[in-house]
Amino acid sequence: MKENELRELAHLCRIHFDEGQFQPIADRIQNLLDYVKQIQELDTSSIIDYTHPFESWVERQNLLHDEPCTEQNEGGTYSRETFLSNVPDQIAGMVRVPNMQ
Amino acid sequence: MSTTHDFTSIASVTTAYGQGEISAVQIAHHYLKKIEELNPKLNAFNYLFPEKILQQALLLDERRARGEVLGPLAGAVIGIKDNIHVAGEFTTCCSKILQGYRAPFDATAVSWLRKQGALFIGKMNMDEFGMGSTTENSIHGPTRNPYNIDCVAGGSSGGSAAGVVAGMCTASLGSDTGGSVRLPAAFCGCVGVKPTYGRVSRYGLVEYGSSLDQIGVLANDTLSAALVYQSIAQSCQFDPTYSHKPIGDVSKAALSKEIQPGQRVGIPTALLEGLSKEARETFDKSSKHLQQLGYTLVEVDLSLVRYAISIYYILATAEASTNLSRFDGMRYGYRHGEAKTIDEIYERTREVGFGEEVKRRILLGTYILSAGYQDAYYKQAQKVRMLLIQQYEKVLKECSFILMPVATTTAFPIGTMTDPLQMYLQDLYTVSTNLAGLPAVALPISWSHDKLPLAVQLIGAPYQEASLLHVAYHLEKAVGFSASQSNTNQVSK
Repeated sequence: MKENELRELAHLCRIHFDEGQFQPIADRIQNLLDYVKQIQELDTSSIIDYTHPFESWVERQNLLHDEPCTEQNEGGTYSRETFLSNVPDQIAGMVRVPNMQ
Repeated sequence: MSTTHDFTSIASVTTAYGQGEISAVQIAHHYLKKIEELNPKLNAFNYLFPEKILQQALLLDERRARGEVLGPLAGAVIGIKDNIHVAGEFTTCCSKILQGYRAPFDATAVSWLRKQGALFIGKMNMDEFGMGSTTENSIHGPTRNPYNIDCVAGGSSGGSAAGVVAGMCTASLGSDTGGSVRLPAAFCGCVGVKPTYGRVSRYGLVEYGSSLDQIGVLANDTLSAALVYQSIAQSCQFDPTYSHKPIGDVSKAALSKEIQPGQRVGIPTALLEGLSKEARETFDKSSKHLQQLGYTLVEVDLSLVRYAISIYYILATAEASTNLSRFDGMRYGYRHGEAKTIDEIYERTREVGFGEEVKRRILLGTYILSAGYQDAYYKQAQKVRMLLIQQYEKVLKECSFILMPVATTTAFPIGTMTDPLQMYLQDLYTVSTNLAGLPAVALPISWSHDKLPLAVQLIGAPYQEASLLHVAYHLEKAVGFSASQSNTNQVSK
């Protein structure tokens, strides 16, 4: 992996790195990729369906109802105030973020 | 309560409480004192709730005095890994990016424990976001092994394991995505249960690898683990991957005297070559005991387990890169104070907020999912995962359960593993169980020459936790591990 590839990857991940960090990190990532690519030596032509790995023994996903949750369990309350209490910056009950520039 | 009373098992504590021998307030004080004495050495707990536990204990005692029915865990004190919500308390995943974050609700597992009378004492140390095998990747520093404080406790649920073994709580909850309950259980010498995928609700567990994560149990003995597991594997309407199959009476099944004749245990001999001499001796000792108990050993082929690390570190990092994209400084946790634009906030917050290992896994996972590489890595890994699942299904038709090592060696000194790949290879015997969604129980068996625990694990077919715990219970009695603990250097002695 080259330094410029890692720069693009870091941008996709939205993580900042200082100059000088890119090449060592790229080398480490490449080391890991070199190891995991051993899976490419296996013949997987017999596998058709692979998106539901536990389908042979698990029920199909239980879709949840699309309703506001107002249940109060013994440990907490699903209130706007509770969820907003963790927001770093809020105004009038909304999350405040900088303007786009 | 007698000073020789056993505070290390669920049955002992809840029986004494139920019979009125001790109050919940006394029990809480006992564990708070233990934590005060031992936590500075072991670093098992990050956050404590001393006032809250005493309040809860007082309320429980008042309910007992009124003759109310209290629940099977009344009086037991459960430690909770710091990626599982306890309403109103910090959930930080031992990461700077979640500093100050308080859980808005109980995890379903915690809620069930609460309903059954359990008390909560604090949040336990872990590798950041579950990413690690030693609990060295925590912003709070490493958790130390109770049998040698210069050694790791295993990870990522190292705090949960060390805390239980050192007597700082009756049992604990951890999470297991690639072995993170079983490996610390093995390194610290306690029982670790990883449920079938979907058996325990993940609601209130901070996600790392969504197709792999399960909340698990750590306890000093099999019956304690069974009691806690049975309590948490109850219904949930908030997790769409939760299985509503009936769970049955797991603890009763575990204690059952009967060992059905003709049961076979699978031995994957070809996978054992990487074990240290003592780990191999432990495995062989376990298989001999199982034979003496009446099980028949059969050789099984699990050759695809050799690819499990590769499959895991492709799929888990891919899933993690998505799951951790929510940590951006906007709605919760740390936000970089000097960043001005939206992009700067994202990039600087995540630069400072995440540790090195977490950033590395996000990079790897994003690469694997990016255009041009998805087919070669992600899709191929999904397909190989299916091959592994099929191999396990075939093997579990040939035997009732599989005996597998947990680790290649004992707990090693803190700071030993500096190469990420060497660290990942520690998970060789554990990750395949998560990839296949299978239940597993780790059980301590013997001691190394330098008095560190060695363990094995039992792996079963889906939803066979009761059977596994039954085998584990009988193997535990046959081996007599806990009776030999008095000859060790355990810090709580």
